[in-house]
Parts: sequence; C-alpha cells; structure tokens
Amino acid sequence: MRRDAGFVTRRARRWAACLGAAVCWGASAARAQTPPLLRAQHLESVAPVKVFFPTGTISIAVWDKDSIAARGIIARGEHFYLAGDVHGVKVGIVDHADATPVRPSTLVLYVPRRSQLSVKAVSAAIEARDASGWFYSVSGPIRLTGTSSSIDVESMAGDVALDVVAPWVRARTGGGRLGIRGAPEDLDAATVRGTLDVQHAEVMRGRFASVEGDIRFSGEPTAGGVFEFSNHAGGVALTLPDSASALVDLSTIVGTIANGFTQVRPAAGQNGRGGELHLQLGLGAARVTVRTFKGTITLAKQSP
Amino acid sequence: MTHLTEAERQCLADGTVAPEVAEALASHLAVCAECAADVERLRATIRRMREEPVPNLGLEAIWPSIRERIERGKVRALPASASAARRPWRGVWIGAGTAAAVICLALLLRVRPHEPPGSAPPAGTFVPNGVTPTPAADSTGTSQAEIQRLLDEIELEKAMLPPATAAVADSDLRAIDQAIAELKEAIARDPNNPALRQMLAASYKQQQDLLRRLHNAS
Repeated sequence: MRRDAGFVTRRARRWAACLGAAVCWGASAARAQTPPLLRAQHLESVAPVKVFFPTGTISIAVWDKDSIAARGIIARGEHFYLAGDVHGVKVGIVDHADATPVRPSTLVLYVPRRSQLSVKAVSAAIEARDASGWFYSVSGPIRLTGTSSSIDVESMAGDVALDVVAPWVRARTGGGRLGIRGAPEDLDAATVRGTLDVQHAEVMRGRFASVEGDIRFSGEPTAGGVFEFSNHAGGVALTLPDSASALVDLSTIVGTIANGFTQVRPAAGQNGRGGELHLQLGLGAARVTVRTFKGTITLAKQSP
Repeated sequence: MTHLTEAERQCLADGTVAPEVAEALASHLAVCAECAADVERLRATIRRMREEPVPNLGLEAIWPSIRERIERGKVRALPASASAARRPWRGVWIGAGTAAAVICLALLLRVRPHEPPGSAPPAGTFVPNGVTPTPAADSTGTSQAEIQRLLDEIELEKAMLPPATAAVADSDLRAIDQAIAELKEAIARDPNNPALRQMLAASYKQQQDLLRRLHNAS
C-alpha cells in the first residue's frame, strides 16, 4: 500500500512537472507571438506612415481600425520612436549620429488598411501583408504578400519576394533575387545582376528587365496581356504550357535563341550573329516580346 | 517733408490729376523744389514724345520683319564647317535622307508579320494600327541629363555609404556602364537598328533607377 502511495506521488509529481514545463513553454511561446506593446495611437485611415528601421526584423500588418500600434522588442541602448498626430506618423529606431551600427530589434506594426506606407530599412528584413506603399532596403530581404492598392519596392542588394494581388507594382533590386508570384496587374520589374523569377503570375502588362541577371518566366501568359522582356548579358528563359496562346517575338543581337517549344528554327541576324524568331502559339491571345543583346533566349515547354 | 507719390507726379505731369486734390498738390509743388523739378522733367519728356513724328506703319507692314527676327532667334547656330560651305546641296540631301529613313521606319513598324486575329491590347492602351507605342522612357536624351545630375550628387554622398553598400553599387554601376558601352559600340556599327537604341534607352533607365536607389541608401 505504501509502495502504491509512493508510486502515485511520484507519478503526480512527474505530471505536475510536465504541466509546469508546458505552462512555461506556452507562456514563452505566447510572448514570442505577441511581443510587448511599445506604443499605440489614433490615426486616420488614409494617413501616411513613415518607417525607418535599420536592422532586425519588421513585420507590417494591416487592420480595419483607425489606429496604429507598435509591438516589439527593442535592442538595449536603441531608441524607439512613434511621433506624429492623427494625420500621419513617423515610426522607427533612431539612427546613430556617429555612424556606429544599430543593434537589431524586432518590430510588429499594425496600421490602418488604407495607410500609405513608406518603409526604409538598411539590413532589416521587411515583411508586410496587405500593405501598400513604398518599401526600400539596402541589403535586407523584403517579402510582401496579400492584396495591395499599389506597391513600389526597391532594394540595393537584398532579395525581394512578391506574392501580391495589386493593380500596380514596381519592383527593383540590384544583385538580389527578385521573385514574383500572385496577380500584379501592371508590373515593372528589374534587376541589375540578380535573377528575376516570375512564377505563374497573372500579369496584364509586364516589363521585365535585367543587365546581367537571368530572367525566368514560367506560366501561361494572360490572354490580352503584353509582356516585354529585355536583357543585356543575362539569359531569358520562357517556360510555357502546351496550351499557351501568344504571339512571341524573340530577338537577340549577338546571343542565341533555343526553341524547345516548336520545330521552327530562328533566323540568323546580321553577319550571321544573333537571331530572330517569331511564333504564334495557339490563337496568339497575348503578346510576348523578348530582346537581348548577348544573352541566350530559351523557349521551353512546361512539363505536364 | 513728405514728397509726392509717383502716381501724383505722373498725374500732374500729364494733366490727369483729380480736381479735388489738384490744389493741394499744386501748393506742395510751390514749396518743394525736388518734386517740382521731377514733375517738370516728366512734362518735358511727354512734350518731346508728342513732338516726335510717329512713323505711319500699320501692323501688317511691320509684322514680316518682326516674324523674321523671331524665326532667326529660334535657329541655333552650329559651328560653320568649310565643307558645308562648299556643298550647298548637302542640307537638301540630308533632309531627303532623313525623311526617307522616317518613312521606312514608319513602314517597318506598320507591317507586323503576324497580327493576331482578335488580339486586343490591355484596356486603356492606345495602339494605333497595332503598333506598340514606344514609351517616353525609351528616349535617351532626357535620361542622360538626369543621370548626370544624379551622378554629381552621388559622388558627394558615396563617402557616407557603408563600404559593403558602396562596393555593391560600384559593381552594379560597372555592369550597366559596360552594357552602355557595348550598346554604343553596336550602334556605331549599325546605326539604323531601332532595337539597339531601345536597349540603350533601357540601360540608361536602369542606370537612373540605380542612382536613385543609391541616393536613397545614403
């Protein structure tokens, strides 16, 4: 009987320990999910919000409230600010006047849905959902998702990933990778040396350009859409489904054209260099123009 | 002493002074030699103008010479070349050649080999005769001026950039510079290739975008 009672006590203690650990873990997880409130204030629904966040991670979410709230964990020694009135605010971390590096912080910003954001980061990762406005980073990655009214995203060297539904999108990066999905209706995308990757995006008018980076387009060109690809030294690879309906004009000054879609061979350019290829796929519902100086143009069929 | 205003002096000089103030102004002139001298000078000028015979020229008669002067002002003087002076017909030939080139280009753009039946441009896009309009951004002239302005600014700001950012920017700028140089070389070999010119314009636009991004970084 005593042995039984000891067994039960040990078991109860073990359960209590497990429960305690679970409570502690749950509390810490909850803390991780909802960082402490830094500041909140009333804000007009269309007010501009200007953000400067040098390093760390900033997440932006929209909500249907007429207020702004900032949650986060600010690195020791750094100074957080949220200044302004109902007509517009400035939020961020104060930059160091002596140019010493700012320690990384974490910020979660909740803004009215129709706010016009202006977000500037140095190496911070920017992540936003359903937000509209201008997003800029020097080297940090930018990831935008959801539905927006307009997006202008720029980075010097950071990766940019867009999966948005928006009537107007402009995206630029230098050496970073620029990935595009979703439904950006009017899209102007360019890199200097980074890869530009467009995957199954529903675009009505798209301009895709690079200087040395490869441009890869995969998916079906939207009927009635106009697509212009331009590259200097990088390649342009179009991978289209068998059902693609488009007029395709491919031309390169000194590069090569590889047609893996049909049996038609490209015509040689001047002095036997470069080439041109004009194709009508299906009913030719979209118009696709590809132009390179010395980059290779590849037209391939999407595997079923 | 408070002197007469300019308007009062003018009115006194040309005799249009209001009767209710005429007496007061006249009494001021009697005691103020400075105002009196000024009014007298104005009266003398008016008298001289009335005495000068006005040439009887209608607007129609003088308009051709005015127009000629305006048109002359519109022409920018180019450095004179001796060969141009020797070949007076050269301008005519150049004009005819340019016109021919424009016509050829228009025809080339007009003839699209496989116009799709029923293919429509996106809503709101004006596409006359199926020719895709060339955006204003494809012109190099305005871009170059803007690029030079940005380059001047960047030179000052570059020193304030973090070294890693400056290195990235330099690599990107070099890549674009090389592309521009290659395109210019190709255009020199094949000056009538519109695709090359559009690519050059696109490269300038890329350079302009990059300089703006760099400006934001600083």
